[in-house]
Amino acid sequence: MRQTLGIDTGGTYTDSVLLDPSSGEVQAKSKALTTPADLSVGIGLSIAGLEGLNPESIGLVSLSTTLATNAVVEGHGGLVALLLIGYDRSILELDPWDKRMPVETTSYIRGGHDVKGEEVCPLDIEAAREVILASRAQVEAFAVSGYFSVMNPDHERVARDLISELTDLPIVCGHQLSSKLNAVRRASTAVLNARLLPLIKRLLDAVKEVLREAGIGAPLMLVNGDGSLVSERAARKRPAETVLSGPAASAIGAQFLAGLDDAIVVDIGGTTTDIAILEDGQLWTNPSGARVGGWETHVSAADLRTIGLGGDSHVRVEHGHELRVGPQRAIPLCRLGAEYPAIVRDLEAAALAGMGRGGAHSTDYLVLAGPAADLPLSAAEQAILRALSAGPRLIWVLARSPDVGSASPDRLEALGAVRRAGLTPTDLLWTPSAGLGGSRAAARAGAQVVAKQLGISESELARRVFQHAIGRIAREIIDKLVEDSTGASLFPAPKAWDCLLQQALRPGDSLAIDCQLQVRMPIVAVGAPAPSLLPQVAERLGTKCIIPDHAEVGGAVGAAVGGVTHTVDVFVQPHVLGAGTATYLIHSPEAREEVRSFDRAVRRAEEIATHLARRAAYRSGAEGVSVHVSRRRLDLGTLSEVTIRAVASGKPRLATS
Amino acid sequence: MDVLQRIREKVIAGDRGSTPDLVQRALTVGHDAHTIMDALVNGMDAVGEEWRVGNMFIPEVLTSAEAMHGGMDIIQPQLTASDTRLRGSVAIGTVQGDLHDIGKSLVSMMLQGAGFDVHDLGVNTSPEEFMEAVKTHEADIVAMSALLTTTLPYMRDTILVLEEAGLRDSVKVMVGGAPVTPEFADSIGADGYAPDGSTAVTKARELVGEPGQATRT
Repeated sequence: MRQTLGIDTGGTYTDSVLLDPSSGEVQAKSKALTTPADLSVGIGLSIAGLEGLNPESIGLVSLSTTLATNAVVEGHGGLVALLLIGYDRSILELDPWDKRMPVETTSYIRGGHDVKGEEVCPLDIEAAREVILASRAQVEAFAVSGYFSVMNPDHERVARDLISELTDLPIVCGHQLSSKLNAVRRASTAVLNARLLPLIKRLLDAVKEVLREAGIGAPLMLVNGDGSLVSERAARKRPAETVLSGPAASAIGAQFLAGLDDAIVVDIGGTTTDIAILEDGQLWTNPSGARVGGWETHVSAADLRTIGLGGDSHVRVEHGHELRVGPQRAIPLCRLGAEYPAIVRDLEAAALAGMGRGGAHSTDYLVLAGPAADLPLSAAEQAILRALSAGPRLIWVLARSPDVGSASPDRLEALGAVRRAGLTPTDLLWTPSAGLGGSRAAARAGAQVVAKQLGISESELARRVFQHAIGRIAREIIDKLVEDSTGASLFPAPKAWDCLLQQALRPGDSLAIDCQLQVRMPIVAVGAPAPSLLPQVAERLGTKCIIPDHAEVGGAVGAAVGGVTHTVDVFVQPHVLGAGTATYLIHSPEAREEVRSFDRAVRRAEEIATHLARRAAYRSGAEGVSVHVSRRRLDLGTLSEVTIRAVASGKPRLATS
Repeated sequence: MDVLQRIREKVIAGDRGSTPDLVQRALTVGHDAHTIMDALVNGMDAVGEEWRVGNMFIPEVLTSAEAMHGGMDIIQPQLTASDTRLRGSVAIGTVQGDLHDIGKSLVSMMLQGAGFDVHDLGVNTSPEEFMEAVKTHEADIVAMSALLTTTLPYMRDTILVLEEAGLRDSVKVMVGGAPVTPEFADSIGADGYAPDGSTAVTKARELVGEPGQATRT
């Protein structure tokens, strides 16, 4: 009998299940702490915890990971040089897009195409060469996006070849990622992928090593953000597609476990809470591309609402009195304290001595995480790393050291060399029954520090943090339901309306109105902190909350039950050459072709789309692939435009025994 | 008759000669520029309505528009940019390959009359020229006219060019012209269609989110 091993590497926990693909029965499950410095450790521990695991019987390993999502939400990633070909600066400067792009360098190169894929001006190869030579030493990857590259990928290809001639660094090109227009989003998507390359590589290398050690030789697949599976090879090239992989897998797992086709799936992890809507068993997807952490991208993914709020969200006091929860995450103090018991006394002393010492960072520790990459570090950054080699240090104490001073640890955090620990909801939820150990004393001492800052009791602090989380999740569910159907968000609503919404979600005395919301679909909740928070969220929304069996490993189940699908769009448009003469252009992710007649163009486009979709599904590790082709035709007077969509789907190939 | 009432009548009559003189007189007797502008615009609105129901013809509408502009020129120095209470900015043109001017100019004038800040790009306007105009003028609306079936693809191209520039979400697109139908407008991804100048004004107001305007497609 062949079993599928489903693994979900979350920001906090690494879950795994053994599932019988023919019966759908969960035969074993296991949970371990994720080990961010070396993910393979947590994966290994999680797999080792599976009872009755026989490495020989595993036919497929399927992995979902919140790694990419967390990296985007928290702003982590590799160092990237962005080359924009034929882009107009003024478009990018309309909004502060250019400033927000998390890249080391942005270079504008002459070149680019027009709407028909005709060259607007030749690619300035010399300029490109200079830029590549100047930036190659500072970065880990290149992102390339050309204007209208979806209509003609030539310039992106030439630039890509040039980069691989001059460097060994990985390259991400816009035309490989999306066939949608919008040069700004395409560039964002390319940068996002490029930034994730080193992170996904680290993860996959770690996983393969662990599987090898466990004697598991089955193929490895990853869950994409739309819930479908891809081979690890494909995922290494387009890591951004695994953005939202964790929540998509959770939604699919929740649907499978709850046996419901219509539901609001809420997955509370350590770092984020994700809300997905299931209708007729399908995940809602966003046709224009996913938005992650404020980024508009072309990544095709389940239409999820991701909130930077979870068990490990950082709880702190800002401006002396404002309680903030998230979106940054922190290692919970209970976990840090288990490894470094010395911090307990440190925090107790802080709680006794200083009210509000360290301000918003009153409980923040820095702790060494991974090796600093071979990158030039400032003297202050080196001093921070030296100080931490003896163990974690409170940030505000560290700042008093003369070599560190006011230097910011942000870059070290972004590089993954150090990590932050601090008070989190997990600390406030700490109970012996939570089962994953940890230092209760450290959690309590941290809570005392923050409670003192606010002048309230520890239990009041916990109540406020949970109420904050419950209210936030409830509001986001309501807003998602409204926005998905109307395109309009409730959040910029006038204050009066906001008060009314507030009253509906959490009745108080401030208004002489009682109102009640009633959400029609039930909430299916998965993730470890779900039982502490979601029943109250459902109550406020006038619906019921279902926490299915195996909910705490919902993502791992979703990974194990997924299939492979791949979609390719090929665009055919008329090209008017003069009075009464026109040809047809076929734009595929691979090339641009020109043919005389519309019928021939459509036939050719269908061939190309079918071939590319089938090939991609095969490369994604599918077998038994079937392709469904659809046309969307647009009549433009005497001429027509058509978009051919080929959707290839199949089952993951299992290892042969 | 009140001088303002007479200004309105002169605009409706298309009296290019005496409208500016009347406006000058109105200023002399102490009317402020806003009140006078309202009278001019009011006259033009009436013209639009008459034309829509078939009581006036295009040449008459054009002379009325000229009369209105003659009056506007007199009061312009007294109106600062913010005073004009512009409803929004419109980039309008006839699409590439199409030299038909009258319908587009009519819509252009009626939109100006209705208080829009109109940038008329003329005829044979390429998709890139529309896109540049949207950027330069931070237009709220792009209005495209096509009178030839063979130039309809350029409307679609313009929308694609706006999408690629990342501007599609920040601008509303309206289309019109003899071969254009509401279904066509919808299928190419436009936000609005208007069969004539007067409806174009109603549609444009609706697209910039003016409340209380009738919805007409």
